[in-house]
Amino acid sequence: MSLDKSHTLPEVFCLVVEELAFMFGEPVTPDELPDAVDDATLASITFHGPMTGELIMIGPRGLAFMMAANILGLDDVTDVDQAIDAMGEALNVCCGQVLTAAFGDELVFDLTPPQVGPAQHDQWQNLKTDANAFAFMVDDMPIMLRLQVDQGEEACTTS
Amino acid sequence: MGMNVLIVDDSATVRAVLEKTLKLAEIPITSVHHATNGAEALEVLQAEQIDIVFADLNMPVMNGLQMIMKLYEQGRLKTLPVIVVSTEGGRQRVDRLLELGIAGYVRKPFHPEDVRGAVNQISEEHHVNVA
Repeated sequence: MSLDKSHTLPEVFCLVVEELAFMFGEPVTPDELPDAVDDATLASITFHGPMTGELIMIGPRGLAFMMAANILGLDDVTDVDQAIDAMGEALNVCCGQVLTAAFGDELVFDLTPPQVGPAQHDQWQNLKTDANAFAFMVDDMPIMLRLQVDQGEEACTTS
Repeated sequence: MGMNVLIVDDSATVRAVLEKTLKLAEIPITSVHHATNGAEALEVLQAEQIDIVFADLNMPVMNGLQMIMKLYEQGRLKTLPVIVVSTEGGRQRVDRLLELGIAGYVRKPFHPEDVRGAVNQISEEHHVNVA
């Protein structure tokens, strides 16, 4: 039981941001992304079941506000809590979809509520050089995702 | 006369989108109540006359599965339609929820027609008034 190492996460993520937030995501290489982003924000969610692991998403704070505005169908969102909530929900949906896409619908996973907050100053840079991270441009904003699977029949760290 | 709806999700974004979706789907609504977890939802259900519940699974404090188990133990799922709206896609879990007596399952991300379809599907079974 293994994850598709090259397609699953990028395909699912782009589909989710399009269907949930009406945003266009495009996979890019990490070196196409800037070395730093404004007020980098990190969203994380863990899952437990036949395998355990974590999905994280990091991007500029503006991404969370744009996601909130698009999901809610508003011209603009200025409320931080709304923005944080929207980014967490996007990750939650992505995680559920990617687990099914990767492992099929026979396995049951429990997801924890997503956590969203400021990223540590070196997290963006660290993820840029992480071979298991995936880079995207979403409506001209840089984003990276990393799916880590810690336990199971075949523990792996990829997507 | 419209329905009294309870939306249970820890995400305010999802609650707002679901409420908007119900209106876009032209489902007649009298009132919409919100709860951020299963425990809050059970309190609302004790205090209010609710016709239909839309509930997430992945929530803090009391998750959707625990809430549904409580409703099952109380025998309320026989008369109260509960539609689960979740990102989880495990077939065993969905089947288990259906066995317990939930009225429908909508997977996130959802479209207005998914919600409308789920409501239509249960309207006859539960005699919910849907125009």
